[in-house]
Amino acid sequence: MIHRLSYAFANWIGKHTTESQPVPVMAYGIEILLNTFIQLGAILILAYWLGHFGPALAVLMAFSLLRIVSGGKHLSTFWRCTVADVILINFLAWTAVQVAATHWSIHGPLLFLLMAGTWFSVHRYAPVINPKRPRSRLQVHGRRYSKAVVLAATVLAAIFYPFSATLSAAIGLGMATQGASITPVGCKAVDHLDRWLSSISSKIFIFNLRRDP
Amino acid sequence: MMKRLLLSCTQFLATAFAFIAIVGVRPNSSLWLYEPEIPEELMK
Repeated sequence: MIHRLSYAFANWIGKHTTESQPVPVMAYGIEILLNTFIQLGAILILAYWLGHFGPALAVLMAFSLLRIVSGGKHLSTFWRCTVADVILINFLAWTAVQVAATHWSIHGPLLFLLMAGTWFSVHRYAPVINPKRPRSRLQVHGRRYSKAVVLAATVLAAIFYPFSATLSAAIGLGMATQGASITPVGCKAVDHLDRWLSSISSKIFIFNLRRDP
Repeated sequence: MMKRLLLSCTQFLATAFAFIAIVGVRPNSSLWLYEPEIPEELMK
């Protein structure tokens, strides 16, 4: 739906302008913009409603920044991705609140292990190259950039810790989730999730067809 | 008057969307768990 909407809008712009931008390029830009607005809106509105807007924003930034430089597998449709993102980010934000509520002797070592695990993961597996994308600096230097992002996030999490352990836990969990998603097990898990969501959506589709008179 | 305004608006939008497309195709991965199909024109 978003894909068709983007093409329709790009076609309309193409007809009404003398600009020599190809329609598929404009449609791609529109689709990126629409995806971002819809998913960001859905994640943050739900987080605000559930009362963990701050941790959700921290999880989102940590997860997304590392994902841009380290890469990762994707789900095959926009709606599957939106549902997965909304549930994942809000679940991680809720987990960060629960983790921060425990005694420091429990969450301290846990956060250390999460950051160490993320560092190992990016050191071993980043960047996950998508052969469909044109070669860029991020692909060539993805590992170095990923390590820099993990290091900067660890320093930020340590600075925030005395003021808000929840924010530190949110940063750690966001990073660790993205770090885990680039490991071979994580890539397989994303594939399984994609197939599972596909089977659910096909079941819902068949159920709706049966309900139609 | 309106036609010229529409033309300049669409020209601005065309440039803005093409810019987003060029910037968006550069990272290893899109921000989220889904990425749109990359057009041939951006693969150069």
